[in-house]
Amino acid sequence: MSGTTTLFPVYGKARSFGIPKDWQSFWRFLRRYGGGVLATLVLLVIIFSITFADRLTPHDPIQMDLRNRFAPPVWSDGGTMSHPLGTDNLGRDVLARTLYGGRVSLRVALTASTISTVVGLLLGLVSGYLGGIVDRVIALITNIWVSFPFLVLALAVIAAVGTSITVLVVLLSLAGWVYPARVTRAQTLRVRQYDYVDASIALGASPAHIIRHHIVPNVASINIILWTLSVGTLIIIESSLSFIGLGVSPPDPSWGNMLSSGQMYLQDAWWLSVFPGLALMLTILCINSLGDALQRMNDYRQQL
Amino acid sequence: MTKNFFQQVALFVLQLMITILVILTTLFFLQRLSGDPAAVLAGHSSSPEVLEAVREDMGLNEPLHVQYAVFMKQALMLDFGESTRFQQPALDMVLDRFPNTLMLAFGALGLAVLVGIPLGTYSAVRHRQMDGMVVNLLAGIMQSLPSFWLGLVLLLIFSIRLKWVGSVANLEDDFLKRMALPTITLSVFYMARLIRLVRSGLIEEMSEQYILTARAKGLRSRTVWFVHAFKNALIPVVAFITLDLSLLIGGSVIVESLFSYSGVGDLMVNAIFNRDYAIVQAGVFVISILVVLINSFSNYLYQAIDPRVGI
Repeated sequence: MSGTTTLFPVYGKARSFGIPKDWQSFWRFLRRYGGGVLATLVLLVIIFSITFADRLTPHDPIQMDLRNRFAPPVWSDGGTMSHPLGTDNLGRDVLARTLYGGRVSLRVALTASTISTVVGLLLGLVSGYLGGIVDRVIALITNIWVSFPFLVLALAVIAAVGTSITVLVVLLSLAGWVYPARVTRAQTLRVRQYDYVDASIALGASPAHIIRHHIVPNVASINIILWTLSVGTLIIIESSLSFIGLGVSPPDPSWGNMLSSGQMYLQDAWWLSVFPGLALMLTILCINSLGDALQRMNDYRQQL
Repeated sequence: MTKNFFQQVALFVLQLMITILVILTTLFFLQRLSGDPAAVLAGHSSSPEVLEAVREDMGLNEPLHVQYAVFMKQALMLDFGESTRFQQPALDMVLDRFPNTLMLAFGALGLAVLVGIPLGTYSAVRHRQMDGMVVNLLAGIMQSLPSFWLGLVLLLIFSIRLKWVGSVANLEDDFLKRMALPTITLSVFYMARLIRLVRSGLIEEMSEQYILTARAKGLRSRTVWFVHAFKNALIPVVAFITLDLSLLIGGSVIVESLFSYSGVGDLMVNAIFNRDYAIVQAGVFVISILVVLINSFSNYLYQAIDPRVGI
């Protein structure tokens, strides 16, 4: 069935992440997964600066300063050190908005992807372990859900109830539970057939014990990978919705809505769009590279 | 487990009916969530008497299940009401824009296939050389670009700096000029996915036993790659192409909105800002049905080319 398994972004043997223990293998590890390591480091820097945004910049991201509009970045003519990345069309500090905007984007994406991964994991465990009618019902819901164009459905919901951070988190959580559910179900079915599970049942272990001690360890790594990759996807969806004005609404900054308001000044005040755009691209790129590296570590076929 | 033709058709019709039912029910309850439709239509400052009259006129004083029945009956007769802003039947407005959206989605898909499959193959054949790795790396970067971000960069280069095309998809422009940027913007993500899918599929096939046999027979390397491995690697790719057409149609909402391209997505986004719910309903309905059709088609196609997959 290799034809069907390649449809999914992730497949392979469940293994531990194999962090090396001595220096020699550490060097080999670095050569093979250097991109992933670099991505992790950059991500840590991004997360650090977003978390400590209030220490890194004295400015408020929403406070306007109309006398000081369109100040260029510090290295251009007329730029000052007080606004290192310049100010926007309402005199707000671009650095502060980029950092605080990242906070919103990351918080939304992390919350939503955690919820959807946990929900998918639970559904997959239940439907794979119990089988029967429960499995059929969950499979039916999954099939109907996956055939809907998510973004269009999101538009319908936003048209009805308006947009807020909560609505976004709920919508994005609904977007991503299908992959973890399907993958977990398949893995659960496989692990259930192993002899040690039979032995455990023969020794009188309860289903809860088997799921916790035999199945969850086998589906954990693949779900961590799916979770990582889904954070990147959800940041893209969130920023896209914010960009067309249906996500995080101004004056609250988010990378998406900063790009959309900067769009009008692209020609004269490029720094309004370029910095949030770079932050967005760099974050997604790092998350995806990290996900890829984790995936390769766990898939012997692609190590080649 | 193979079913005959009529069973397959019956199953498909059943699935389609369930999906339509689910979509319409969702739309109905979402509409009730959106607040008082009478207030939207009559304006929030209207007097209570006027509001009451509008409510009576719209049937909002009926019990919920009666309203639901009325809504379903009208929707099944393809009547989603009039757009409150344009005073035209909502479905007609959506269907009017529909060909543009299809053109954009299929154009982007075509571009992704035309560029993605050759590049993916190239990157697989040379996966141990520098250039093959560079192609793979580029695909990774392309996959990380949000479409609106890429669209903005393309606009900055080709519209503002070079002035080759207008910044919005102007209907007066000639076809190619109008379509170029939106199509490229939409297709890049799928192109990248296609490159990586073809690459990993091919590399995986090359480690199979039958490839060893083919090589042992003394076939030329080219024959092994392009006749034996390629055929098998293409199976998931074909499934991917049709399945992702539905993602493309969803993604076109963002691109249409960015370029003010007159498709269904742009129409719906504007309708949301104007609280023109009839258009949103009609748009969701049309696109959902299209996506369900595409997905069913993709399932059958998949079974047709890969006999190992039963229903």
